[in-house]
This record gives sequence, C-alpha cells and structure tokens, in this order.
Amino acid sequence: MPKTIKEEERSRLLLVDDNQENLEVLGILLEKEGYDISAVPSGELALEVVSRSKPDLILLDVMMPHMDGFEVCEHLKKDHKTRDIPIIFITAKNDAEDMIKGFEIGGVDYITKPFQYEVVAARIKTQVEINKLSHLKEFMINELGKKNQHLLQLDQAKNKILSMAAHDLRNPLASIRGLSKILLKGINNLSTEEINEFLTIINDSSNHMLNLVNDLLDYSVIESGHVDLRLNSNCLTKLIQSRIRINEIIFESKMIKIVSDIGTECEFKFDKGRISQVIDNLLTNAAKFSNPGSSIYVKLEKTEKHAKVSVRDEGPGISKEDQKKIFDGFQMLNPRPTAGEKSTGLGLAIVKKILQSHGGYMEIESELGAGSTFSFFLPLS
Amino acid sequence: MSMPEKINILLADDERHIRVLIKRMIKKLDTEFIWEAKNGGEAVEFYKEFQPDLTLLDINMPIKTGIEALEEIREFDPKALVIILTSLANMEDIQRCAALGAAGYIRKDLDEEEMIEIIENSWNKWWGN
Repeated sequence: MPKTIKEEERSRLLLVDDNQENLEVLGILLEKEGYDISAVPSGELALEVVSRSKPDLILLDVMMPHMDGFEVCEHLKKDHKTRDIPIIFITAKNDAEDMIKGFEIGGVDYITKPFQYEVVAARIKTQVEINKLSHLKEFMINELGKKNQHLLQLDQAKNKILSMAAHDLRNPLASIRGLSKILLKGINNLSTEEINEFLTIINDSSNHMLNLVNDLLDYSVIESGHVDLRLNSNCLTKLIQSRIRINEIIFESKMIKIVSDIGTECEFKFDKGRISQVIDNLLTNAAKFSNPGSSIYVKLEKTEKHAKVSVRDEGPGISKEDQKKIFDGFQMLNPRPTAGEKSTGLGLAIVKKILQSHGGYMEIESELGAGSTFSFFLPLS
Repeated sequence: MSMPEKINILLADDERHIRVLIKRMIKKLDTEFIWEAKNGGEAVEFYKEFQPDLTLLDINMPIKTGIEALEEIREFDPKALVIILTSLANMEDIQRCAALGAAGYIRKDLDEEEMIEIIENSWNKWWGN
C-alpha cells in the first residue's frame, strides 16, 4: 500500500515481448506519452524485474518461448506482493477462448495484434488511471482507519477524564451537602468546635472544587489545541526568582529551605504566564511531598539548544511504575502529600501540555526514598 | 443478632472531610470506638489489631485500594462485616466487592437516615436476622 500519493509522478510501464522490434517501437511511442519504460524480451526476465521493482502496469505478450504470457500472469497473481499490478495482454492470438483465459487469470485488458497505436495508448491510460484511483482509495481507507482509531482513543481519554472529574467533584460535594445539612438541621445541637470544623471543611471543599474546575477548563483548552501562547522575550532567571518569592508562604509554612542556583540572566522567548504556571506547579508539588525542615533545590542551566530548569526535593520519591503514569492526569499515586495538601490530579498533565506547546519537554529522576527531580527543557530559539 | 450497643467501627477513607462527614452521619449508631484509617494499608493494619464490629471502606485509596484491603481483611477474618463507601456507584467495583464478601455499599452523598438504614440492614442480613 502506498504511503503517499504523488499525482505528478510518472507511471512506470513494463513491456514484455520476445519481438525486439515491437518492444522498441512501443517503448519509444509510450515514452513520448510521459511513461517510464522498462522492456524485457522474456517471461523469466519480466518476473525478475518485477521482483526488484514493481511497475504500475505490465503490457504482456502471450506467445513467448519457455514461459508464455499466461504463465507470467499466473505467477504474478499468485504472489500477494505483485497481485495488484494491472496486466494488459497484447497478442496475435485473437480467438475468444484465449481472450477469455486472459481475463480469467487476472488480465485487465486484452489487445490483439495488429493494433492501432492510439488504441493501445488510450487503453493503457485508462488502466493506469484506474490503478491510481484504486491506490488512492486504499490509501484513503487506510488514513480514515487511522484517523478513526485516533478519534476513538481521544474519545476514550475524554470519557476517562470526565468520569474521574465527576468522581473527584462528587467527594467534596458530598461533604458540602452533608455537613451543611447537619448545620441547617440544628446548629444549636453542635459545639462551637464542631461548627467551625464543618464550616472549614465546607470552605476547603468548595475551594478544592473551584481549583478542580479551573484546572479542568485549562486542561480542556490546552487539549483542544487552542493555547494562545504569548511568546515574548523574557528572563527565565528573573521569573524563577519571582515565582520562588510568590510561593514563599507555602515553603515557610513547612519550614522548607529553597536552595537556588539559577545564574544571573537567561533571556529568550516564551509565554511568561504559562511558564509561571509550570514553575509554580513544580515548586508547590515539591513542597507538598517534602517533610517539614527539608530543602528544595532549584537549578537553571543552559545547554546548546535548551534552558533546563530542575526542581529537586528530599521527599519520599516516586516508584518507576508511578513515574510512567504521572503525567496522565487523575492518577492515584503513592505517596501522598506530607501535610494532607490537596491536589486536583491535573497539574502535571497541564504542565506537560504547556511545555509541548513551547516545543519543550519534561523529565523525572526519582527513586523511592531518595527524593525526586523534575526537570523541564525549553528551546532557546 | 440485631445491632448491639456500643459497637466498634473502622472507618477507612483517604479524605479527612469524608471521614468527618461519615462519622457525623453515623452518630446515631451507638458506637464505642471509631478508628480512622487514611489508606488501605492502615485499614488492614487496624482491622488486624482491633477487629472492629463493622468496617466502612472507601475504594479509591492510596497504598492499598479498598478492594485490596477487603481481600486481605477477608483472608484474615472470613466473618468480617465490611460495607463499601463509594462516591460514584461504579457497578463493576461494587460487584467485585460483593464477590469478595462486602455486605453492602453506601454512597457518600446519602442522608443520615439512609446511611443508618443501609448499615442496619447489612448488619441484619450479615448475621442472618
């Protein structure tokens, strides 16, 4: 099956005739029509040529010594690699029985000698066109099959996200609904501590739902390919510094020390807002999985083609199995955040997409018990 | 055997707000102790240590899922009364838990009365009343 169809490509004809003069005359005339011509004087040679390179059509004489045209045709039709080459018989054998046999064994046309050249040229052209259309049809069917498969995969992924989002929204909703009902039923029967606890849970749960809905919307925008990147010249060093400052409150709450080695300048084009999202995600993830009092190391390096940013934590690490699914979204991975922090489960899936849309990528290095390093690479140009 | 007084319950769910909610919902039951497990691993550990009268087990939990925890609890104690907690009634999971001997399932968004009713019915069915 062809991988691509090139309409302008010259069709290749193989002429097989033991009469040298016939070969030469037909060869010269058909070459003028724009075909690429190969010519051989026997059936055996014809099979050899076809086995090396498949022509688009064979013009095959029937009466030849050793192996006649019908035998050649039968050989080619038996082999799945050559079965689809159209064969036109061209022969002095002009009785109906031979013609019928020619069609029965797989010939597409049967021309009797003496022939008028224009008729031969017209019949060859028709068969070449039919053959091209048939290849095009096969190609289109194959492409449609692939597209269909891709759409089915996308549909399955979307359904999975939808059902997991519904699941993750339903849990906080259950506590909002249940606890508010209890509060409405009889606030006087509850202690102040209970009321505070229930209201805090309601507030936290609604915040978590809002974050989840925001991430879902973001994810769906990115997934549908509608990310409008605002590529401007920015300094990645300054951006990292500012994101560390903005997230300081999170690090302080767990007494986490940030150790940065990010140089002084690294200017190139990227979307500042989106890359801020990536840096925030890696920093807050590292904080979530770090024990109080530990350190997070942030490093910026320039390679020949990329800016590489690494965020290393001293947390519990991620198993090889979990590393494989960490970017898929909504994964239940071990271990969980050290202080019960909430995750929407979509953060890294979004990060991956943002980096891909910049032509960048992400890497993880981690071992259980030995911390994790998340690195992202952005092309400098 | 109808539900006795002062029963001990093991409540396993990885989300604290759900544990608070369920604990409050089942307040009407006469409980002596409610042990709270934050993951499937703790659920199995606590079950083996305390052997509660009733276990409420979430399905989606880290370390060990509710299904894995149920398998281990069942192996340790064939008579363990376990009710599954679900946020979405996923029939496949529920059927799997039923095959592993869960006495019933509770959707987390049910009302207090419905939750208590399911627990009482499961208790009665389990002990053949």
